[in-house]
Amino acid sequence: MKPWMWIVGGVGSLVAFGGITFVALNWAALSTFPAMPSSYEAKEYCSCRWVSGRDDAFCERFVAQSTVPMQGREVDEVNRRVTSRALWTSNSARYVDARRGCVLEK
Amino acid sequence: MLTLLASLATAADRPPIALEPGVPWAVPERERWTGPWPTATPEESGIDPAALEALAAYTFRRTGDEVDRKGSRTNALVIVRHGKLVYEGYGRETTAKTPLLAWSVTKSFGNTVYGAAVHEGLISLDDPVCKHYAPMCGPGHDQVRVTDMMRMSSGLHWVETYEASPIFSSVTAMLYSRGSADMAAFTAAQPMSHPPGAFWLYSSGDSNVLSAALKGPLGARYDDYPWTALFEPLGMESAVYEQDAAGTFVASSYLYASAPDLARWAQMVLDDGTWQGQRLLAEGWVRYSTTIAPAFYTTALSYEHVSSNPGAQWYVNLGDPNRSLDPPWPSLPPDAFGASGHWGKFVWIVPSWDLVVVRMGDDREYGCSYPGQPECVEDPEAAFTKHRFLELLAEAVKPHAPPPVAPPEPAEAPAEGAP
Repeated sequence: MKPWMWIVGGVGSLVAFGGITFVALNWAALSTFPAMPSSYEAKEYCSCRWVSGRDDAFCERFVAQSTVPMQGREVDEVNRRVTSRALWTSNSARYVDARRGCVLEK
Repeated sequence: MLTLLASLATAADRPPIALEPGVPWAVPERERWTGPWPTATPEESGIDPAALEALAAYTFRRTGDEVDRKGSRTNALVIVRHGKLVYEGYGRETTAKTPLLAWSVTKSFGNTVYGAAVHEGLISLDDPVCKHYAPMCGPGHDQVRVTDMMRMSSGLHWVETYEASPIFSSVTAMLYSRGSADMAAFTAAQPMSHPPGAFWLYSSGDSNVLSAALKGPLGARYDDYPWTALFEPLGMESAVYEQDAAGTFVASSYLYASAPDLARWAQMVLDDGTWQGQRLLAEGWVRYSTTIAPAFYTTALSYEHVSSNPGAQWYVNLGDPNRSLDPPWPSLPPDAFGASGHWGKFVWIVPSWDLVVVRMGDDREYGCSYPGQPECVEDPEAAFTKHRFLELLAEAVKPHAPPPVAPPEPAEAPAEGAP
């Protein structure tokens, strides 16, 4: 092998090792991150609609965010339940009652 | 090392909190009333009508649209002076009855729920949180008192960032992923990073542990307590208070109420925890809550300190002369205090002006209000800017206001709680 190959291989290994270490040390934070955008949208849309009493168009603009693309939202108007999908993860929130508003289902 | 430090600062070493009755301002006799807010004209209230109009014009000025969400996005402005509603205005499809998301104004509401529970003798500021909430009974954690969490000085590890750094934010994990099933348990499982009472750190987690710790003392009354203790006596018919999946009221974030209803609650706090002649909060609770958290004086300054002086889930306007720190709201007198929440929610209470102001917004960008504020809008006309708003408020009220009373002295030595 030529010297430059050793250098590239060495640097590559270090980067890979660093990356794996970073993911391992921060696994709790990284592994649960995909749940956040769908949970955020489901919970805040639910409360926007059935606690604050806004309409769909208002709440659509209220929960919009530009960080993560959303992959769909189902709104069950009858049971007051909303399911949002992002990063291949779904989460739902439902309206409980007039005092306690909405809660994320877990 | 941290465990050692925590064990040195035991709860027993720290002096108990003595609630001293009364507040450092005069509470006027109020006329009793029921139903909607009694109203008064600006002239009757000692408010300059033209300056009030300028304040309202600034508050409801729009520079962005509903899609770009730029500029000042005010949902409601309510002004109460001498116990009477002087101004109410609404924008963005909001009415006097719309329950508005309060975000972190909820923390100050949670403080008043405690004020009611302490008034009933159900819990004490000096109690270790562990006495009422088992997940706080681990080594080190068991030294954290109710007052430490009330003053956001629990010593628990916490990262309070929102959109800026969602992956490593404790608060978004609590609300939307690892913590959402049981927010208090998620917080209590954090390691101790400082001895309790010594380090001030804004923490939504602390507010929710406190909320869960009321379940023991209240038992079956827990679900109804915010209503029986506060919403019903205050006539806050719009109030909604959401719980997490573990049935804990989300005291960090999820109170919803109309602006006039929030003004009722604020008026009760201005009146030393009394409403229509009835005492709702413990004697001395408001004084305690508006006294700077002792840990504030022993914590290195960051940009957050420049914008807020922490009391106990409330914010005060004293600054810190020893560190050349100006009061955060220079247009307001030194006895002003308030609550604030994400996206432009503010409740200001100004005792020497006998004034309550509620501004509920949905701002997705902020006007620059202090040096070094990150990602803010320079032009006060282009985004809601606290300082500009308060300057205009002062212009409407100040010429008619009596001279402000002296600021309250810190009740405790600044070094309290230090190891």
